[in-house]
Amino acid sequence: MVLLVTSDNEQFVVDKEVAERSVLIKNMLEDVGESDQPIPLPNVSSSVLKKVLEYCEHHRGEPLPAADADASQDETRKRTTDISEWDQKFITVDQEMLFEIILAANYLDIKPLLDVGCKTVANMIKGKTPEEIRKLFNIVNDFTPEEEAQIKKENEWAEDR
Amino acid sequence: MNVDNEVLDLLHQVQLMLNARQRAMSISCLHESSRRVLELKATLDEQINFRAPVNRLPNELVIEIFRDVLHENEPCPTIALDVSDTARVQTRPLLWLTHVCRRWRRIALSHPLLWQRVDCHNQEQLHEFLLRRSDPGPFSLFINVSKYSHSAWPSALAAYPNRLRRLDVAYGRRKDGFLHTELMFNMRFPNLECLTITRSIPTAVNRENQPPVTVSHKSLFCGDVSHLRALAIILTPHWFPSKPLPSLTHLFLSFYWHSNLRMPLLLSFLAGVPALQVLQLSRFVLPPQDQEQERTLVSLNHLKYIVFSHNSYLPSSLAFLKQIVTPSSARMYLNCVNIDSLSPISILPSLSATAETDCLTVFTTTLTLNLVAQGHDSGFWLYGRKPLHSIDDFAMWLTHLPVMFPLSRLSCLQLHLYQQGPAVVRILRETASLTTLEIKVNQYMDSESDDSKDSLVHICRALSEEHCSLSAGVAPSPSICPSLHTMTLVLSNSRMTPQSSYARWLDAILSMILARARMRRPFSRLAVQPIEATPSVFADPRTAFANEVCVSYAAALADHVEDFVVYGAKEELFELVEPGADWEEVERYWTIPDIDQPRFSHGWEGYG
Repeated sequence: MVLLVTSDNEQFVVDKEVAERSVLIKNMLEDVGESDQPIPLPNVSSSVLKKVLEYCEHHRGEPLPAADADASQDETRKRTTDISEWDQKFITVDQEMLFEIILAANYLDIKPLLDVGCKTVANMIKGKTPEEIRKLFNIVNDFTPEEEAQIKKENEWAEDR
Repeated sequence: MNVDNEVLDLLHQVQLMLNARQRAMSISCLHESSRRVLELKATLDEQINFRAPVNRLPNELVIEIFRDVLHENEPCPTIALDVSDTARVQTRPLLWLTHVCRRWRRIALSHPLLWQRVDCHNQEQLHEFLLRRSDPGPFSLFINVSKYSHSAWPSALAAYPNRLRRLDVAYGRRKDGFLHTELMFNMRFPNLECLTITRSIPTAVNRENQPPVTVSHKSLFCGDVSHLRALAIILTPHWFPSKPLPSLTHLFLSFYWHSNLRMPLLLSFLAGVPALQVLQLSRFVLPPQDQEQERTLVSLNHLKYIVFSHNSYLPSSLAFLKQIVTPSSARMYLNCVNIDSLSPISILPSLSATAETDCLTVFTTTLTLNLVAQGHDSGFWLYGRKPLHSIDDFAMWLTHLPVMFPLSRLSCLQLHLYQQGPAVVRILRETASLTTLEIKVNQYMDSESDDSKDSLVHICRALSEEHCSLSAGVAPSPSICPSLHTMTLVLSNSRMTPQSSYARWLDAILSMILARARMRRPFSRLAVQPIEATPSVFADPRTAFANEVCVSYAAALADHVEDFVVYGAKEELFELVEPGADWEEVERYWTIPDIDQPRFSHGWEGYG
């Protein structure tokens, strides 16, 4: 078992197999060796870690992506934004939590969870106009008039002719 | 005073000053003040945006999200090979991402890979993308010839030859020699990795009774093609690459015009592409004399996939296969027409892809034949169609199955034959190692009155046959499929099936189960679907009766098999094996047109 300590000082006792879905934790355990020392996770709050561990528990035992997966996946390979049914349900959370999960997955180096998070955000964006995207993410139009003029010009390129 | 109050107080003072003095201000000062206020507003708005949850993500993750957003919309890294006349690079989704807020725009503009896809028909955009946004990264150029004009010819392209990685030329209806000459033959793009030429039309398309279109050898890009990894030519034009392509891994050729592109030319070309991994030949047909050619044997040692698609001609495909040497792990897909035109002896030779077959699916309709063979590390798929007028019912193919596949080694067999029981039994007699059998029996073709012509009864009796050993004291064993322990049985029957038939079939199945148990080879699992509903052959419409049949089958059989399942009329439990999940490799550089996809018939088109 592994003891994880969150930024708000909550402790989680987790199966090693589950915790090692995180490459960061896996590497830390390998560096430290057999030890009862708690692993501090200063960038992850307890509410977020709870969700992350739920994901790791569900995907326990699945093969981990190869360490060099990124390098081998060159630019020509196709992407997909398909997300499994369970993952979709898991990631159906409010925006605040969604982005916290993505940041935690990035920090903890859990590539499949990071992919699920990024694809979810991408699917939210797809097919929306800039104004709709702003509304979706509570963003305001912060362009200067000069930038607006350039954008207007660029919109002509986007027309299907 | 805290920061918030300090700033708000300052703004209040500015507002008061403006109210008091604006009439005294010069027009230029008013303009300048207005501009600064707007700038100030933009700065504050940008700060507001920084606090939005989405903008907590670091730049590298925002880029990942952008790339996920764009993956469907941008034809790069893949392009559909069946581009239409109106095709163009869809830049709207990318541009819209840059129009959301300043941070998103900065991130997108600083990532050249997002801007690598350039459409040739808008010169201003081309220059902006090519010279600024994708610089210094690689770029891909899409030229839709039907929208292309010479005046828009990008001089920038010639200035940055080393950056061009991919060139996609879609011809549509235009027959324009300019691009061929200037672009593909006279310019050098030493780092070009992928070239697709779609819907090209030879300058002299032959009409009936005219000689074939003459294909000449051309040296692509002045012969500087050492980095070319993927080449798709649809349809093969009046020229063909002459130089070896040492790095080529993916090749797609679509044959349409009656040309003099013959087997020797094709083979000599393939001899110059030793790294080839994926070869797809669409509408592949060769003149009959080429099919009798002496064997030259071109080795394609790295081949992973070979695909004959879009109604290729089976004799041509087989003649071609005889001329190449491929690893046994190379997956083979054949989608062919006129498959009844072969003599029975040469129907399908034992191929490297079929030699390791462990699981075999055979599925016939009146007009189509599906063969799917899979081994530990091999795969073979054939979808064949014969002409409407043909009377051949694929019986020859079924007779020759043992030549094509090592039936004695099969562990898993899936059969759905339009033929009757004896044809099934003939196959089963060859499958000595079979452990799993899934079989759909077409009962509606049988005589209802003649028990000996009932397919299911015939099959059950055969599987109950005893092989008596001559040695005394040795228990009899099944003479057919002695290792069989898992069976799925689907009865495809007509709405007119009399009730008495269901009782007869139940008796036959029960007798088979008991016989196998007596021989100490009991079934460990048996799944039965007594009434199967299909799109065109409707099951017995009496729902209550159908339920009664299922209940009676379960009651009679469940106690005799460790794991017994009875399926209702509309449950689908007989599915054809689809091409492997790793088909993605075939479409690494482009999206294959639907008509060239190896979709196997699940269907019922033959019955209609």
